[in-house]
Amino acid sequence: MARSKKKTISTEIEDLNLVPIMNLVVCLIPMVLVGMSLVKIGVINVNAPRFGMGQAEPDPDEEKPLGLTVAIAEDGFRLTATGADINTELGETPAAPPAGDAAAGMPPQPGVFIPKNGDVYNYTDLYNKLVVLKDNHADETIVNLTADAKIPFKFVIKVMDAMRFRLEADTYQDAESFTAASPKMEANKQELLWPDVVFAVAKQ
Amino acid sequence: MVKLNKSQSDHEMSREEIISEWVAQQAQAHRQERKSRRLPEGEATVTINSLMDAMTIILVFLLMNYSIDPLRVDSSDDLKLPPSTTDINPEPSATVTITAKGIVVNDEMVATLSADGEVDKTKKLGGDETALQIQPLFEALNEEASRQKEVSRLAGSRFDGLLTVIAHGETPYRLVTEVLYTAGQAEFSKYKFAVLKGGQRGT
Repeated sequence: MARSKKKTISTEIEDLNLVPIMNLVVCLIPMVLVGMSLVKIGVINVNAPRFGMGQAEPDPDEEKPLGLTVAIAEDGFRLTATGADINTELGETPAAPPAGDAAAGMPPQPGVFIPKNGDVYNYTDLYNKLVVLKDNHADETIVNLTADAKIPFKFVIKVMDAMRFRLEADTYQDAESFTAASPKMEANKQELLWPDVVFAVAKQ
Repeated sequence: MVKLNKSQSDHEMSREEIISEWVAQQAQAHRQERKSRRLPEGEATVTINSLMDAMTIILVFLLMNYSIDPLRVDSSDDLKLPPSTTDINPEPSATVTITAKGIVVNDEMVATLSADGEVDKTKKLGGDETALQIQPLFEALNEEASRQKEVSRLAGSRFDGLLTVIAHGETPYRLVTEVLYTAGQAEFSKYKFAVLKGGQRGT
């Protein structure tokens, strides 16, 4: 009798009561799962915008910077540069400045216009032209980016995606091959194209 | 006992009968043993040890993922981040969130937006519609900047002026520049745009 009692006690000690811990864990797991974001967030670095129109006079001894500007308009992209004649470099005739520019007091200047391909922006052509300009000005990395006031932010991100890295080929014929291309690697690092984006103000 | 039976009346019982009897005896003994081990009436336990193991591992894994994410964005219809091909990870910094309805600094709505994504001109510097500075946003960011400067001073580091802008994909460009200009006035000089990883180029 005494022996059997002893055996019962030892069995009770062996079994831990895990029910409270289970309750806790079962509550915690859904809480953490809900709080966890399943999508991966990344970031794009941009430089401080230049808003003032008047800039300090550049040193005459220094080489004049290219001052490349990509403008996103409702109907396509406009490329302009202050330091070089990009029309000659790209072999394009100067496009007529948009009507809005003259009204905003901007001096009309030569530039390259890349029209929309149907309803979508022609990122492929933008990339092709930016590669040519990069080859001609290898030391330049800064590009000014501006857009019409109503252009949604997502297109600005897409333009930055198109001009940040150099891809395997220098020119692409269609959007499919441009989308499928992977960045060109140099010593295990992606070769940069125009990575330093400077925001310019939107004209209202 | 089985052996005894076997030796005594080997010719009377067939081999199969001996085996079946032996099996029945073993089963009986097994039942007896199990019955004696059974817990007192009214108590029952479920073996949850293996379940506990699995759950503890899941919990630790989830908590680790939770803590290493410096930037958390709760996506909704008013805040859909644009997709991008970037592979840069976010860093801890001050954040400004531009949703379809308003501008939020540190979980506090500082300015509401119209349906066109514009800030009311009374909230801009001097009440001018063409002004770039959004006054309530400037005050909130200025406060955040001075707080960060104080923290860096005490920690002996430099104030880096880093600001992460979490913007809805449909935000008009004009508003983005207004927010960046205002942040610049509040001495934030380096910006990062939060995007969704895994976007496709040129689509």
